[in-house]
Amino acid sequence: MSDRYATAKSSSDSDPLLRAVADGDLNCPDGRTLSALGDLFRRHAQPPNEFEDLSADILAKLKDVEHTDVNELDAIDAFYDGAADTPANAQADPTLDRLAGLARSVGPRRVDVTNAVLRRIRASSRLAAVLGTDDERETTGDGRSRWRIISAVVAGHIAALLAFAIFQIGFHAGQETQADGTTLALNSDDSAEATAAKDGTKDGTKDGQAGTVAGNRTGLNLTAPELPPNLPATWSDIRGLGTDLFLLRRFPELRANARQLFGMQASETSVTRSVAWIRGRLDARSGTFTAGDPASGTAAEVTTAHNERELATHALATLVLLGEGLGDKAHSADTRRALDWLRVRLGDTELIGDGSGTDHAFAGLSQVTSGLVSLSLVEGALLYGDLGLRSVAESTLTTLDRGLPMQAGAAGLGGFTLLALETAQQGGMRVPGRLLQQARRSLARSLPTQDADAGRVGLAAFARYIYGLGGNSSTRMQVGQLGTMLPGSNSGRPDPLGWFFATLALREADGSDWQRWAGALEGQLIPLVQADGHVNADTIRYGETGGDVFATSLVVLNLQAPYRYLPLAPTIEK
Amino acid sequence: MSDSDQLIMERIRDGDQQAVVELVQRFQHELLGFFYHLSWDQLIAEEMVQDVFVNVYRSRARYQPTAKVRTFLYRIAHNLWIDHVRRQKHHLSIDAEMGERSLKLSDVLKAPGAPDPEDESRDHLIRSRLQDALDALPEGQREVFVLANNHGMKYQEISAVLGIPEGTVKSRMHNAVRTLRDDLQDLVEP
Repeated sequence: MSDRYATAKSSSDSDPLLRAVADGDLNCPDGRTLSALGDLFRRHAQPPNEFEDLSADILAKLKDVEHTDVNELDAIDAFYDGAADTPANAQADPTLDRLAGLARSVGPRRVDVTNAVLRRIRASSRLAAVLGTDDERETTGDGRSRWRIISAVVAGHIAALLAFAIFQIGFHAGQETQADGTTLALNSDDSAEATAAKDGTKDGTKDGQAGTVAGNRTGLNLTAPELPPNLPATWSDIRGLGTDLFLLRRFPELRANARQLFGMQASETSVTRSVAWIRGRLDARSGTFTAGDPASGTAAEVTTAHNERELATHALATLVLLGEGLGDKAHSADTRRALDWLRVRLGDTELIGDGSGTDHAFAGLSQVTSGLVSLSLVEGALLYGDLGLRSVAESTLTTLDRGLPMQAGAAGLGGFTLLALETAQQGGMRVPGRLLQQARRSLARSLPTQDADAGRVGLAAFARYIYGLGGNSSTRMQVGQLGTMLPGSNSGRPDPLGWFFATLALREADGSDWQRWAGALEGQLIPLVQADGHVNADTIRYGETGGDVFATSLVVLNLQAPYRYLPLAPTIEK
Repeated sequence: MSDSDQLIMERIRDGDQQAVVELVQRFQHELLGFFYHLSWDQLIAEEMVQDVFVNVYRSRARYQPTAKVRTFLYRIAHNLWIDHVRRQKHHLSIDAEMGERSLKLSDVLKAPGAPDPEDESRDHLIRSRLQDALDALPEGQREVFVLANNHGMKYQEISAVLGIPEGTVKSRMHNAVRTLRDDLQDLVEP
């Protein structure tokens, strides 16, 4: 018996099963069978009598492997870590050379990021200056500098609250409502002071003199608070530059100047009338917009906004009111009422969830409606500086995706979700990073197809502008594509819902592209506005689904384009 | 004659923004390549290159003249990339949920003067194979390979950039090359 079996036998001392196999232990259950099995195995599984000595072969093989390995690894090291860039080993191993060449053959497009870097450095330096600390200390985060930053932030908040109060008093005291519903403009000195007081972050010109805008937007004589000397290149630069996305809409004079700047003066009367009409639809008791004339309407005519369509219409109308800034006292009160209705509505029905995805704010609502509602709340919170609204808006943002993929969809209507998130983000609100990334990936970055509609192409282009990619060839291509889709260029009713994002994008594109679009837009929309300011639902595409308030709101949203958002710095074509 | 890298860094340390311009122009393209080969996304690469220089400016006081400027920049780039990867990890579940690969801007932003469609298609195929092969490498191996192959760094410098022993760089490089050679055999074998 070989040593191996001897070993097995010795180990069987402690293992009854093995003992049975080796010795036929009859005390073990099935001992007899196991003993027979052992015998059988021992008889038939004996190795050949003569072992061929394989050691020489094994050693030779090991040597081969080692030799190949060493050569291969040496070649890699010599190629990549040798003294010369192209050592002899590379010639000996052309595969390595090809691999290296292949991996080097694919690279990025060469771009110059110098200006972008400088802009960011300057923006962060300005922020650091406002905080009363330098940016180096900010990054080191030592206790003293942290304390200084916290103190500065607290002081900044107190100053902002005081400034806001002064602004409110000054603004309302300096403005009167005329009999026809239009407002008298503020004294420019007052508004300059108000802005200077409100915007403590501004450096340089606070003397109330006219400001200028960069690039082809120069030379505009602003008698209202001046635009910041450097327009932001992207929405994310806005806070760093110490300015406000809603600056233009806040002041009647700036709104008028923006209309003039973007060549849409013709729409002023229509907008004024329509906004007044929409405000007239606001029911003082319920806080929502009525379908009919509230003066003659019955309780049944007051929308209870139980369904999605009415919620979307309410949000659109609220966005229109917010588009005119805080307005005069009555306008401001109406807008607050509309916002409060949304807040109460969401709170009452426990629509605001915990963000877990199971109990979410917009259960059962489409992405478009949830985007519109969120955008209204975000704009309201930022425009009013209202902490309560801010909290509600932030809660709604957490559940915007409702656990579902976001889609740009027809007319780019998913873009309202993107607008809500980006507006909140630039305004410093808490925005879930996951959702923002998802929205950017799904709504902003995806390319529309060749046969996409104007809204879808417009959303893609507008997103590129707010991310500072306006000068890219793809953006220019999209702007060119929009030029072939001018309002009124095809048969069918005017489609302000489908034009909204294209209007926003082309306003950023400016120049002849915008002029052609704006001219066609005004040509299509202004005639729809009736003498009392309303737009008949059946005169616009999809109008019947939402009624006159819906139709009127959509028309006004497009006509407010010149001043809804602070324009970005003109982009340089790449 | 232009300043040495060290002199530029000293000027940056004194708050000279013109020196930042010089530094950016000197290193932006290779850093763009670094991030591009790791992310395969032009937009992300551009943003991260900007981040590198903004970070350099913010932390200018911490620069030690003893450190090679290029190594210093790549070290910042590496740290930014690690942060980026960490942030991205929790987005993966969303991609899976959406059932689609996220569309990268690099996929759609064509350079002006697009080439012949056939060439483009062949290039796209090769590029796609290469991208898949590099993506299949473990993160550490990929970074080592890109630094050595595309940026001509020696093992010692890679070791300083990544903060790992030179032996580890070496073994990662060996493994990366072997894997890539196997994966791309039909493209690289003579």
